[in-house]
Amino acid sequence: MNNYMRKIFNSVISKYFKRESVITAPIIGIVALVIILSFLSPYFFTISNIINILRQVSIISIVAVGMTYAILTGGIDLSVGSIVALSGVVTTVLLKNFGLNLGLCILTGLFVGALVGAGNGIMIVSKIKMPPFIATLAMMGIVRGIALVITSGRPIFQLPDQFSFIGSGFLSRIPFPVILMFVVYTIAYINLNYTRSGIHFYSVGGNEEASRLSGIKISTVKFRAYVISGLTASLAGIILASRVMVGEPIAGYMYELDSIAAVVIGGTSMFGGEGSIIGTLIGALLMGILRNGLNLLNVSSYWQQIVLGLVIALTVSFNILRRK
Amino acid sequence: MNKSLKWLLLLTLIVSIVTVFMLSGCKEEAATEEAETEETASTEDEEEVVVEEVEEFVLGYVPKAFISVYYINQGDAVVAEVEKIENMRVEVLSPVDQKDIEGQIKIYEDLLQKKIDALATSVSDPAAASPVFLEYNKAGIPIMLMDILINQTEAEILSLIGADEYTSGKLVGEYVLELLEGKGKVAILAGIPGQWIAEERLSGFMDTIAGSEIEVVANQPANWDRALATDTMENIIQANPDIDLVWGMNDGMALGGLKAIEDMGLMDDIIVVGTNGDPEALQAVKDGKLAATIVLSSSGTAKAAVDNAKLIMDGKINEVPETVPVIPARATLENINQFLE
Repeated sequence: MNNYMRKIFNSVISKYFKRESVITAPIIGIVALVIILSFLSPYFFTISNIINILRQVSIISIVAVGMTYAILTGGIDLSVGSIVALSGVVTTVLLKNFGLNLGLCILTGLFVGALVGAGNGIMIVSKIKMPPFIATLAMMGIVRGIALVITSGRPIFQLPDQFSFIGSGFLSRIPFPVILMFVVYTIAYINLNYTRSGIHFYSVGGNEEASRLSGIKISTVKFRAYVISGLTASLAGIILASRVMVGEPIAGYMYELDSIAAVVIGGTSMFGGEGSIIGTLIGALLMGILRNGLNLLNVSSYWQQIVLGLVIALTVSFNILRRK
Repeated sequence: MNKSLKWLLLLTLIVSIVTVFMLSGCKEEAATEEAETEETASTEDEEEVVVEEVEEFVLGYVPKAFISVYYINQGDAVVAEVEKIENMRVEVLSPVDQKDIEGQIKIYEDLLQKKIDALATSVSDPAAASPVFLEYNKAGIPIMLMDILINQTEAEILSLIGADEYTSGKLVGEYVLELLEGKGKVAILAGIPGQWIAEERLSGFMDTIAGSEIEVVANQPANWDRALATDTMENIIQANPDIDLVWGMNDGMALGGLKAIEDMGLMDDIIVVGTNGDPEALQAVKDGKLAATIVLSSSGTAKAAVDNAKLIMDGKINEVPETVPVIPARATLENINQFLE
């Protein structure tokens, strides 16, 4: 290996490790947790339970991908939980009441999510420049309301059997939603690390003014982030509806907060510009493993909330200390 | 870096300490029981104790959520009943909120991983729980549904345990017949139309007053909602100022209606009756504001579930009744003290 190659190699590696260094704390957390839980519960470290955890985590972790984009640009998306409900409801209503082709129903569900995301984006980047927190808070109410209006508040059930594959199907032994999760993360990983458009999300969140001066169209980048967030939330909504075979207008309960928790546990800064998509996956896994473990150990829901809160506070404070 | 390392250590330490601490806290009950069995088995070596633990019958209990007094009481009663039975243990897990349908399903999935022996649950969304219940069917774990007497899931349910809602409506009807001496005008603050509980309570009431001179002048849904019941009550009184009695199909609506009647100064003219036996309603009965309420027994459903689990444990699964209607009781000023602890 000549000197030049080594230089490039080193710079790529060090840059990579710098970005991914934020995931040290959650990874150590997961390892510690897995070891402790394996000792405490004989049911924890079994193949069927690991598959169970991955399937439980898949839905929220897909929502967290879009949330990572929004947070990387320095924003936030509070409407994801409502989008989960709306896309599930739209897809199931089209399937059941209109008997449309399954693929078409799913595409419409995804389109509705992207549309809501675009609505968020417009509010945030248009002349009014609404703060993302407020814009998506408003959208959260609007979208939830639409889901309730469409269904008159009642769940849509008795759906065609073929719909169940997305949420409950298996490819060999791996649940289909888990495969979808890995596909979504692979795409996001390549996009954020190896493409120009992906790196723009980091630069806009890191320093808006500098990005503008270097010719990046800030509004386009931010707009894209919210469309992606809407899209991933709607994909999650369709998977959830298929998993339970119900289009539930109150689905996605607290998803906005759970996905934000996954993102910040994964080391992404709430101020934007810094973070990692792999970290988000690890954050979601950490929460999923913790919940599953506490359930297996028969810990009451009151205590579970305390533990989850402690874990968020500790991992985030660790990350803040690292940055200093 | 040194400082961060310290933090790192602190993090893992605290997480592990908290986990272990909670474990010991939560397993205390089970542990004391185990200790007792160990004592009886005293000098036998450890291996045999382990075998005994494996044989222990594990009942999973999952309420809708521990946010209402009804489920908290039900959960306590399940634990108390199970404690009376040797070799049976209960795992109590609850979602944070009734709206957290997915949280409840995840608990079912996790309990399935633990291979519990039977599940007793008050399910928030029967349709959404169907896929996981079908997995229980496949695994051969019997399911008992609580607080409902019809199977709204697609899975096979061993036993349905719930308050006899028809009888609770009937008890209200009988009381109204008695109070009004078979003649008068009644208004109903109804639950969500089409819901099983609402329909059962209504038909129990209507069948009882049929043939008498009691007239239902208004039957308006207030969707189990207290605030909506106040508004609805005001409207009903505007249209029918001469009603004698109001029945709120749950206590929340009865108290909401009572508020409107109080505000309009009609306390002496209109009698209010509730249903459910919520603590606030029982207090209102004691204070003489509410004429009566129907007490649905959360401990009754709990006892029935544990009795069924005992039958399963003893291999008498065929003897488990398909439905267990739990008979409610009427609370009035005369007998209110037996309902207030």
